[in-house]
Amino acid sequence: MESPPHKLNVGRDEDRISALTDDLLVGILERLDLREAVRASALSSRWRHLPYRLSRLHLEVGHFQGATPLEVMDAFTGAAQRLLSLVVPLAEGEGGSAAIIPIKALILSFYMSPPHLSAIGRTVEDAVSYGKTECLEFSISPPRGSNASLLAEFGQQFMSFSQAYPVAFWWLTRLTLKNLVFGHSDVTELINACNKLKHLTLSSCRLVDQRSALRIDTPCSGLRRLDCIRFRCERIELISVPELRTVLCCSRHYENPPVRFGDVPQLCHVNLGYLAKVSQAPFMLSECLSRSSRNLSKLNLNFFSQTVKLISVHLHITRSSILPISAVYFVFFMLQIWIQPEQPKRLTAIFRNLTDMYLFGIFPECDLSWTLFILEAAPALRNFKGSRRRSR
Amino acid sequence: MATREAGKKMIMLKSPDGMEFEVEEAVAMESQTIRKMIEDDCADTAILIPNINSKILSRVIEYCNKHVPTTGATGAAASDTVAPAALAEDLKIWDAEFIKVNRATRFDLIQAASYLNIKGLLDLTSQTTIDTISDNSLEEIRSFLSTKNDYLPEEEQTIRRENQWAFQ
Repeated sequence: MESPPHKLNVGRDEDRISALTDDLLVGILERLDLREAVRASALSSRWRHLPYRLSRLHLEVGHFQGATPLEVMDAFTGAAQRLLSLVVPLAEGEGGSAAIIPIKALILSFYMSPPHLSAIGRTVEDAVSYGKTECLEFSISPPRGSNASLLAEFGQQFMSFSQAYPVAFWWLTRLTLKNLVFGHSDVTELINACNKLKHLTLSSCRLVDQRSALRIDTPCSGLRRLDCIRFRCERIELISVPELRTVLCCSRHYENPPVRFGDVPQLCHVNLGYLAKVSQAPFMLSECLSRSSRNLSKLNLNFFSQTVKLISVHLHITRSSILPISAVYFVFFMLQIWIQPEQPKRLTAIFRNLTDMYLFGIFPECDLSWTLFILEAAPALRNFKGSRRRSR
Repeated sequence: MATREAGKKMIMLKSPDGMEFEVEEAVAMESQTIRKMIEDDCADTAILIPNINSKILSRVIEYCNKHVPTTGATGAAASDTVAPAALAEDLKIWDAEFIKVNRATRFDLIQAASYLNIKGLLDLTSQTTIDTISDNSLEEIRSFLSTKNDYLPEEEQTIRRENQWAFQ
């Protein structure tokens, strides 16, 4: 039980708020945007050390300014080090000279900047070493305007960062990576190293060899949610992700089927969206979904319907000709629906708990009879929606 | 409604200025601090609430009475007939009226909510202060909170320089 509040005998217009305990004021600051909480340290000396007692911090690189990404990251890293310095002087009258503030929640969103990674890694490892951290999130991307040829290098540097600071990554609960290029087994290794990771988002990332499959084989991981947004690879193979609940995969192109679900017994929510070329043979859902997923309850498929899509225009220019343009080629991709109806009974084991099925961007030729196999295979279906429009 | 209903366990809360408030145990247990006392059998029939005067304590009880989950005989009828969304909306309107108090009372309520560990009341009472701090200049915040700037100009400059990113 907390100690009773001090008795106050001050008038209405006096500074009542400053008489509240540190814990109460910190509690108020923790509900503010971090910039506002830090600004409050300039209110009066009573407030000066309070931002350094926050146990919940969200530092966002976009809030820092600088002429170059390096300068921005200098400012970011400096602020992170100051705010996470853990030991802060206590206000007079609280006894003792310093207190350790265990960090409960830490969200860091920053650029892949090799000169700063060691300082960030060390600071985070110090912060989590008290074992009180419930939430640790990194969101990492290359600095804005980075040359595309460097992205593979950034990917390697990120992997080295994760290996150099295993304690920090062990505590990580959510990780978002943008615009990084990974080697074959990097993603599996990463998930295996992040013991507490619940949610992984890979946005605009790719494999070094885009014609190979992203294979995730992590039988010991606790990962619950995987979002692959514009992840460029041939397909995604979830060989073993035992705790996985939710999968989102959307991209321009995958091979058919885009995902192969292996040992994912807890899977309940799948969201797939991509464009398939006419040359790709449609696949059957039973080839893609896993019979191990007995709890599948929500399936969203987004076909991005456009029967014909203009992919590019080539102009051939000949200097000798009077007419500068000698030929114009329009290249059209015939796109198609990538699901093939199948015998409902092949799906009944997988669809027995399916309650929600949404089909976005379906083609005009997919009439109601096309969807019958789904309706027949899913006895628990409550919500079924088919829309010509693509989902958001 | 302070009518005592048969079968409901009542508990006495005493403020340091000698006032006594008889409340239903369920209402008192909205406070995690009191709940713990009751569960640990530290509470007889009367609990002294130190340093929360009768005026503030009566407001706190008023809040708890309104927010206690309706599970009793009359309560069940209420929650059966009123949709949860409507109930939540009603509570929101009630809260907005409840918090129309002067600053001193509000800070006393923050302290009381913190000591008695009533999360909903702490959230409600802190929110006005949070709204004041966000999106206002330091001068405006100081004037609203009646906080005197006791920094030397160079001290304030140092703080601004050290945390330049937050002031940009």
